[in-house]
Amino acid sequence: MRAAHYLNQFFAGVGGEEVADTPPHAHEGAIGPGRLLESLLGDGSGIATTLVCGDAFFNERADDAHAAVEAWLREAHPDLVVAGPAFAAGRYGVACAHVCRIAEELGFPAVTGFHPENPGRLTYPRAYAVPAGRTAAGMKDALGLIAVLGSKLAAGGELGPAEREGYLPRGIRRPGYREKPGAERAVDMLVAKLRGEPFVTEIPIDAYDAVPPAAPIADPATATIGLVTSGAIVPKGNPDRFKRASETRWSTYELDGREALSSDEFECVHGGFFNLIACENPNFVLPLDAVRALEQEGAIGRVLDFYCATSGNDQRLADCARNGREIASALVEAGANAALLVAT
Amino acid sequence: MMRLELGSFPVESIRSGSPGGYASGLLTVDQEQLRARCLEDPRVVEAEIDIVEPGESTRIAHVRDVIEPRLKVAGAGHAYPAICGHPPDTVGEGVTHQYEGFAVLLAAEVPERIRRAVSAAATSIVDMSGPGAVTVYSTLRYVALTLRLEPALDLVEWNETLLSAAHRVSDTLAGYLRELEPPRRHAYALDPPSERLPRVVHVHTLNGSMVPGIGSTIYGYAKHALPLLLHPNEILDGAIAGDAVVTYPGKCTWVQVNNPVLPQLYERHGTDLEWLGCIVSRTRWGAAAEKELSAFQTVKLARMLGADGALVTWNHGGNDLIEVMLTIQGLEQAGIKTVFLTIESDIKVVRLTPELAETGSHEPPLLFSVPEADAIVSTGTLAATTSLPAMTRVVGGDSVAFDFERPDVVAPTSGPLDLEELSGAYSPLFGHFDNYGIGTQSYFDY
Amino acid sequence: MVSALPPIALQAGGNRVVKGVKIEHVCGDPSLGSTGDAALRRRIVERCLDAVSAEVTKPTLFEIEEAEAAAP
Repeated sequence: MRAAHYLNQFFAGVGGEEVADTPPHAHEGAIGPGRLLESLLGDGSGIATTLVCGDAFFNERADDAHAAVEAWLREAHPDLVVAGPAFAAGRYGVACAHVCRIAEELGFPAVTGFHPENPGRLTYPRAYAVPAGRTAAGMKDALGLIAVLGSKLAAGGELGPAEREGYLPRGIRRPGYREKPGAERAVDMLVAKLRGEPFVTEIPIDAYDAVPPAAPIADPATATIGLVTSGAIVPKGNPDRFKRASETRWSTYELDGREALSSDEFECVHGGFFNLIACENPNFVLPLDAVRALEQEGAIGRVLDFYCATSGNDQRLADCARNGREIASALVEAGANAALLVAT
Repeated sequence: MMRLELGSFPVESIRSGSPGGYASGLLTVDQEQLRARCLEDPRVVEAEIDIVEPGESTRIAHVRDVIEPRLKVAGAGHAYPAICGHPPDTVGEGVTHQYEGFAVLLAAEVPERIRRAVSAAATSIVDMSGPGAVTVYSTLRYVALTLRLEPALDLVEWNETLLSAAHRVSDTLAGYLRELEPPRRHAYALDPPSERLPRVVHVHTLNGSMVPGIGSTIYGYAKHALPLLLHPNEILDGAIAGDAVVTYPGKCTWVQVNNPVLPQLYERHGTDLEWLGCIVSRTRWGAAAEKELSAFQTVKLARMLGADGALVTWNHGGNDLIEVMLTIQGLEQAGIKTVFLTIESDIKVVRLTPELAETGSHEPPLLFSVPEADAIVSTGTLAATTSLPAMTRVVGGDSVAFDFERPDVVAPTSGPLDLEELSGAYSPLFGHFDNYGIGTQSYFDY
Repeated sequence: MVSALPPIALQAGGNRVVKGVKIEHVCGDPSLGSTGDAALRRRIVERCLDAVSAEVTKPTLFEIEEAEAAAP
């Protein structure tokens, strides 16, 4: 098996931060940790070429760096691409992630090694990365895992789940069967945890993406506010037929200068809670009466004369995200600089 | 204290005949007798009794509850205490006879006015064969009751009338077992272990209905209340029962007495752990402060009992997860090591298309979590991978409507049914959530 | 945004979250009578105005003061 290895300036032995702007250049054969990797890949395998690039160059001159990687791989036509391992180094991790991405786009299997918190995992979540420690002290272990996983990838065929094959989860979950029923696994896991024995959680906790906050408005008295709710307040009769669960759409409804929402004209069709109270007084979910009073007193500059609504029960995240973007556009187009969103 | 012997009578075949009775795995059912029992209550206007077996080309629609007939032959109280006229005596001791592989299935179409009141009063189906036969409910033999009630009953009375009829039938069938010798017996008791073992509580959280007067019951009590302690034998004797309105799978009566967590904890009691009991807390409180209170009190009970560890389960979805996670957080912060047994995100239940099957950052497996929830067992979800085919026989009702906003859009129950097209349904495949881990299905990260 | 379940809203990344009353009546409280309820609803919306005018760097919870919540 012919492997191609990517290293940054430090691991290639060029130097430290002072030469992080080293431009990409290829060497024949293995360099530095590549030699150990070569021995681990076993008989008949070797590192045909090593690409070295400074972390600063890769991140600041990304287009040039990516082009260099692509040209290097097209020339080398390797059976396997190994990047790093990058351990916890952020810029190196990002570079390794791109190398894996470019390799896979060209049809070459690729593998790297990350500490689980390396930001490179977010750059290209689909990269096959073995878990590594924070520092190069873990080089030997990481390369051992890389050699095993890399050989499997090079051999082709389907890889099993992350916990079985030993790579870091890549953001894909698929249904499958385990050996024992769930209840038995749960008691086994509890006994292990109580004994201090290792166990593997079946759902690793992942954070939601952070959203950068919008800048504050200068003064509500001059602001234009748009009203939004996922509490499914709709005109009586539910003209758009919002579903009580699993709705994908959103809609706009005119307020026509109303001072409050009345139960004669509006209702709540959300299926995820006991919505009788909201039907009797829709202002509990869309507080138009209070908003209008504040507008009339001058505490709010202006309120848009329509509101946006969806039925937020059992909605798919992808639909929520799209609806949010579209609602935001609609509000901005109508001149709003702030939104009041009520969720139930 | 509290030793319960369960005598099990497996049902291997079932046929119609008179008199009804059980012998050597064969259950004979007198359909006329059972129909008459349903009609004893004048509020039941029509009752159809069907025998259904796994493997048939049969689709059962409008499933409301599934009840395993159980009978106390020794010891205080009545199986399924404090509901449907049964006395409220504390159960869990003596001898109880049960059927295995057999249940009474209650089916009834939900009237329009009840759907308006309770959006989650869904049309759920069970396919006895084919790609939709993915749940444990496709593996049981049934006496299925399809009931139609007086039109003017309010929600609480509608629920009560249906459940009472189903329990009359269940009690009659359980009665066949009174004098018989069980082919198999198992004794359940929490004898103190001979050595110090890690002490474990089962935190059995139960959804409470946000609609007053309905929902699962604990000794007949449905309202949200602060947590209480149950002996597992009480649960085996039916202290937790379902309702006939919301067909969310974790609320069905059958799964409460057949909760696989109970025998699993019993199995390890005395050797690997000391099981202290079940703390039963309600979930789906409406206010954040109420959710916190329930979680805090649950943690306090665990601490007072001296728990070292806790197995936490839940039986619903959505905002119930907040108090469950707050409970896990509180337990861990109190030094009580916790494992969480759970389904994954609701979204995948309708049809497991490849796009839905591959999730991750696009669809978090759990709506909400806390960093302390580091030991989780996932039972995934159970979904048909293709459209459901046509079926030869239909029980429970000839048509199904999944979208309440378009009650005019109906499909013949006999199918074929494209569940995603008919989605907006709440829990279309009855039992699609294996809340307590009966099966081996799960999810894996790739 | 106004939510009766701030933990979910904050975890999902809502940067300005005002604490609502209960899922069934997020912006108000029917048990306070119509005057008390209206005053509470007004206070919640005023808190929203405070929130959109405030500089935040991460998910932040804005609560209604106890005394204001109870006052008629």
